[in-house]
Amino acid sequence: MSDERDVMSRQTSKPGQDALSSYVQVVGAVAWKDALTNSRNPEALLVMIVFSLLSLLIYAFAFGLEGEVAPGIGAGMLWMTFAFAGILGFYRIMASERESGCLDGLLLAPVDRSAIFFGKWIGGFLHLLLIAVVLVPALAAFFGLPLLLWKSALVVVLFAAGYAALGTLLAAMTLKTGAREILLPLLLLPPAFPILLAATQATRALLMGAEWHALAIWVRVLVACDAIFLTLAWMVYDRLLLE
Amino acid sequence: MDISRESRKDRNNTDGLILLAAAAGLSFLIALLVVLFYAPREQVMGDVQRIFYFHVAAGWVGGLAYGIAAVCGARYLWKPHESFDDAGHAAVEIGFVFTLINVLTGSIWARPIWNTWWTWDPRLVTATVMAVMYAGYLLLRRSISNVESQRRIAAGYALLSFLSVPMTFLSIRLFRTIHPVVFGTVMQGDAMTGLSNRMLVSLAVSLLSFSFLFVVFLLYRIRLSQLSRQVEDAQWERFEAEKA
Repeated sequence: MSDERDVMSRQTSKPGQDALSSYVQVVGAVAWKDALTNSRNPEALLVMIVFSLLSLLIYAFAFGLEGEVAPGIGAGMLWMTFAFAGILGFYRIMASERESGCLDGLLLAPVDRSAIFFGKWIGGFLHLLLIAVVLVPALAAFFGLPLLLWKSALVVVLFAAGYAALGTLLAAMTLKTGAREILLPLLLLPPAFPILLAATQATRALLMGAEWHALAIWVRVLVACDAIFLTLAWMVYDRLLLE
Repeated sequence: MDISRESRKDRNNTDGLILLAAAAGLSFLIALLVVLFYAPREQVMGDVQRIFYFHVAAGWVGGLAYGIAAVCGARYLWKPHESFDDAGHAAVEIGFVFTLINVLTGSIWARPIWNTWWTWDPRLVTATVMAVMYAGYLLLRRSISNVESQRRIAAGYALLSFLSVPMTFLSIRLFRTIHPVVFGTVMQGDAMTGLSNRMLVSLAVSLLSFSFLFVVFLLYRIRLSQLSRQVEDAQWERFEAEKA
């Protein structure tokens, strides 16, 4: 009897596993394609990195900063720069498909659209991480801030995951609008408010040398927001792009 | 024949709406009288506190409207029908105005009580972020010309925006804040804060009348969308007829 059930469950689980592995394959294919095209045309990424360094310089003389910087200002500079540089990248996520005429092909592909979302999300996430790899050490070096810790890396990764989810979703939403470049920041920043707040507060606590438990609440907020954004995007993405 | 029946139905609808609007106006008048004359004078703040009844009611209507918009958005995404879009759009437009009333009345109250028009308190910030978010929703709608995509994308953004509503509601319960927590008696410092029975009754009357007013606005706004669609269709038909 138990053998029978075992066989049954194995039989039923097999197509499910196939579906899952083909889903993962689609996610991987979309992410790989984007990584490949981006590595051959790295201008967008370079622009984002240079833009973020430029922002640091502008903040430095706009706020009149010399030598040591207060933790509050340092944390604010990091996340403002990161948020604005990230927006530049999100334009590209879908616009590049449209400009090269690949959008229709992507939408006609007989695959689950949410897999396209996750593929694009991985691309956006990696872009943000690449910006952070340059931005965070630069901030630490320019302003003497103790940012190079695994804790700040954790905050950056968690923030980037949620921000990329919002960016990928909204890049698809603004694709049909007349003025997509102007509208994206307006639509993106308010829902990003909780993760921006959590990341800023966590970094500020970190820079003031707080213990882990002072950070933990903000880390939890980041994890919760990431989960909510990804779930919501997974649910609605295929219904937003029907044609 | 068909047309006359249609127009008669229309007139009946309009009569019903006018009656409802009159009732809502009356209930608003009652709420005004209750707040000004029945509600007791607050011990510390004095008469300034009376603005609270409208402040809370406007905030409540904002949350209610965004909730309706989110439900309509979800319904539209899973089962597209123009009536869900009409209702969702109407709810956001009205909710946005009520959110502005909420922020504005709060600011007027804060001037004598906190001695400032504005302070960077979590509740004030989250409420304003919520308002900006729905302003974004309205701008998003305007910028999409294809009606199908407009409805679908607006529905998705209404769902996303709704995240700001619980965030605003919970902000005074999660963070350290100077904004009063009204529902449930809460220890603030050494003093218990809460509402007396007459205050609760006044608040209930105000909440009910604002909700009623909101429903009437909602019905009118939905009807406006339907009528403008009819006008567009009629214009389109005439254009086709002239061309042929």
